[in-house]
Amino acid sequence: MTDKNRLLRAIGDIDDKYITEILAEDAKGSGKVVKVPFNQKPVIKYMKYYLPAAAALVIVVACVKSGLFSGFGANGSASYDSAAPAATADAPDYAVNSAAECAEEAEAMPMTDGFMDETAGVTDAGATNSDKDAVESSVNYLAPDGDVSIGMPNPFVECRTLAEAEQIAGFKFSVPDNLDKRYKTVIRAIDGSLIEIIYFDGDREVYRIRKGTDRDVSGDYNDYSISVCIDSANWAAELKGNAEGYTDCAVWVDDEGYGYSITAGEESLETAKVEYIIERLMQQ
Amino acid sequence: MEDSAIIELFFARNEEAIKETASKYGRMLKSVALRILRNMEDAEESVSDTYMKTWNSIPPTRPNVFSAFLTRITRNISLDMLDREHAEKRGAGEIPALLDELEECIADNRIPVPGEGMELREILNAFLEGEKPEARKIFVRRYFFGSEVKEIAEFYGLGESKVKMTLARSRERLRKCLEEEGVTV
Repeated sequence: MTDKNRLLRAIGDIDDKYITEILAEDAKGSGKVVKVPFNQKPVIKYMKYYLPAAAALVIVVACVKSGLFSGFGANGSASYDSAAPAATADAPDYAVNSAAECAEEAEAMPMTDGFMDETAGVTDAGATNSDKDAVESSVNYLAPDGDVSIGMPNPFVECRTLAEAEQIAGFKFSVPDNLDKRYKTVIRAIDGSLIEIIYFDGDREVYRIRKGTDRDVSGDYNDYSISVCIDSANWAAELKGNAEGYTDCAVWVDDEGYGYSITAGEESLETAKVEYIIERLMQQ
Repeated sequence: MEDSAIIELFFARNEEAIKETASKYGRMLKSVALRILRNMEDAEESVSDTYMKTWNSIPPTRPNVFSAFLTRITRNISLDMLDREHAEKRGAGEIPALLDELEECIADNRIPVPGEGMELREILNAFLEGEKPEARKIFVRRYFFGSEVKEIAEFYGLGESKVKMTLARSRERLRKCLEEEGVTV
């Protein structure tokens, strides 16, 4: 063993008090972990989605109540894309009245899975996606543009390689080759806006990471009891979850303004693991 | 659970001891291992080995400060793993940088081996005792925990240059300590 190595080892034998001095500081988290006021940030951040999503809901409910979709199932060829604007134009009074009712309803409703399920159920009865996909299809691709074309086809394109996904999305996404090699991956992209890699252990989704042009690309609108901002040397991320030491959703933005997210699959991820993944991604 | 209660579980050879240790200190230990190994699987292995080594050490050892006892084991196991796997080739985080910096303290010298004169541990403790609190904490963060300079600077709200300067002065004082204790510099 070299002398410098021996010195490094010897530093490991310093008195306990010098170690506990640091551990105590870390436990306090001074300067490192900043508690984010519970729910305050997400509510502000997602306000841009609330109104368009509520508007879409209003229109659909108005159409259903007014019976304008009654012939839909019969001819089998009409699409909500064309029916919804027509309904708005044909029944303006009713739509206005419903808007007030539904806006109140929508405002009273938290952005939870239940809300998303209901939206997905009304807009696309045949959907078999998970709650997360329901969120993607009902909010991500409707709300940001204010587009009320409900029942759009899944905008994700499944890709064989990351390079293929980068071509579709129009930006680079560097992911370490050896990041969780034990899991099989599915790579998907949305034209000009998003790349997603989903990690599976067998059929079980472990987590998914995303990079996109929006600042919050997680598509996760759940309320979490714990929300902390972690500042590291190369990144600062918001980690959200319901149990100490575990994370369900992490979002952050890089220096170029691209948004990233890690969302847990069936089980919450250990926060240390999430921090490690972020570190690896931001080292690329 | 209190540390003393966990230690009693170890003495009673009750496997709940490991569960309680993992619950209370698992995350902290993983963080220590990750700083050194920069690889999640290796860090997890290091922490598992820490529990095993703790199980084999207690009894007869009764740690004075359980958290420091565990941290020291994790650090040593992680450094052993680095040595064993030549991990610097695939990225050993800050360790090569730490070694380069520490070399300043011992250039053209030899560090006393245990049993030869004053124990290095005693020299280091005497050196740390004489350091001002801020310099001492920065030194321990850097060379015990392997924290990056930038990380330390952000933690204390200092500039990176200030941290580097503090470390350089500490290393110079350590070099003098080693010299005074008969380690030729």
